[in-house]
Amino acid sequence: MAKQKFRQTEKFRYSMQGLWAAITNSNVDGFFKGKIYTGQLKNACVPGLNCYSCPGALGSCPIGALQAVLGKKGHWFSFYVIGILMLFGALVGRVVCGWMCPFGLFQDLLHKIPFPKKIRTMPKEKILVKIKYFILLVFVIILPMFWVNFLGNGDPYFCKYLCPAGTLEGGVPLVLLNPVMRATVGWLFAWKNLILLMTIILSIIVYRPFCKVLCPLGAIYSLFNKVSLYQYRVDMDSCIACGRCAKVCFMNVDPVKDANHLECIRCGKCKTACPTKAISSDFVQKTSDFEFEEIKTM
Amino acid sequence: MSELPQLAELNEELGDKDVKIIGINVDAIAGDGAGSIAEMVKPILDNANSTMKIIFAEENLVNFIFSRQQAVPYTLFVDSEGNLVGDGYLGAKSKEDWIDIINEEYSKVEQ
Repeated sequence: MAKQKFRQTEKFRYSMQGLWAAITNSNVDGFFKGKIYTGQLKNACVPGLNCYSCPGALGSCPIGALQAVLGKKGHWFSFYVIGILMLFGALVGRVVCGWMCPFGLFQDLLHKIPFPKKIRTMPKEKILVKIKYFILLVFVIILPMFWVNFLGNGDPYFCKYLCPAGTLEGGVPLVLLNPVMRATVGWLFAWKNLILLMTIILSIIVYRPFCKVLCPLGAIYSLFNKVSLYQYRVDMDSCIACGRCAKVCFMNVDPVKDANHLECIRCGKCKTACPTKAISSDFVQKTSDFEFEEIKTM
Repeated sequence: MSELPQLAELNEELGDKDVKIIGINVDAIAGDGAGSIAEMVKPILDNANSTMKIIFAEENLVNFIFSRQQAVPYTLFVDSEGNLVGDGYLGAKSKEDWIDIINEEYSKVEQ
């Protein structure tokens, strides 16, 4: 019974992720011609990690756009991109990771592939998950600003050397479809494909390894989880401390300890798992909760 | 942009071969914003003692280039009649690589 309900809620989430990925990458023509869309919509960023150079992409990737602006001589702050990130972060936090990121969906689906010994928690996972803040700081912000050529322009180093989403969505399709681009393929393309391949294999064994360890966009949104308007709540009066919520969480969060943990991607599995419906999520706190708090403290 | 100093030198070294390199700026449509880019480019050419020409393309030429390839730097070869030779090359290359490519493309035109 509970299993069936699980399947239903997860199916709903996959379909929302898929729908969003399809809408924001609907330049179908691009996949046939090997050309990217360059119209007005590209001025805006999508909330998730979605490569600008995906032939289907209608919008820009916020992490790519951030590096492009910071890497340009004379530009020190990207008001527009940071504004978009703050908007989504302040509204929903890592709901974007769980519901609106095509590369998150890609890893979700890969993890459904059976494997003899799936690893639930990586060794030293608590430390590994901090790496993404380092990636954000160094590859997305510091290097594009300061590792510049003689003209003062920096490359988007995260896109160039690391991002497997870019390889999957932009690099591989363009190289396959564009013979002139194929002639430029060298060690960098091989390196990026190696990262993609490792991400794919790891995703089968570990749940969302890229999101947990490397994603600079997840790092940004994670900082908003505690302050976003959308919040997860555990009603401690109905909680029977059965531990089922923590058991079903693939991001290894214990909602009872911290319902808005940095690693929570707000997939909602814990809500389905809770036998007493003690876990809820909503925008802004209800006034009745405030009154209740007051009575308790008095 | 990063290969411009080498191309500027190469343009001079090719003198006897009847090959000229022309830089086409696609960031600024002629007139609009071209001034600041010209300021950036001029010292590079002066430094190499180069007579290489940089042109600021008008919209039609920019659109033509992007309709073929959407990435830069993109290098096209054109014969004396203005016909395209080959499909062109993407990406910055070393001077040595360009010399090899130019020899190859040049032989195509001679035939």
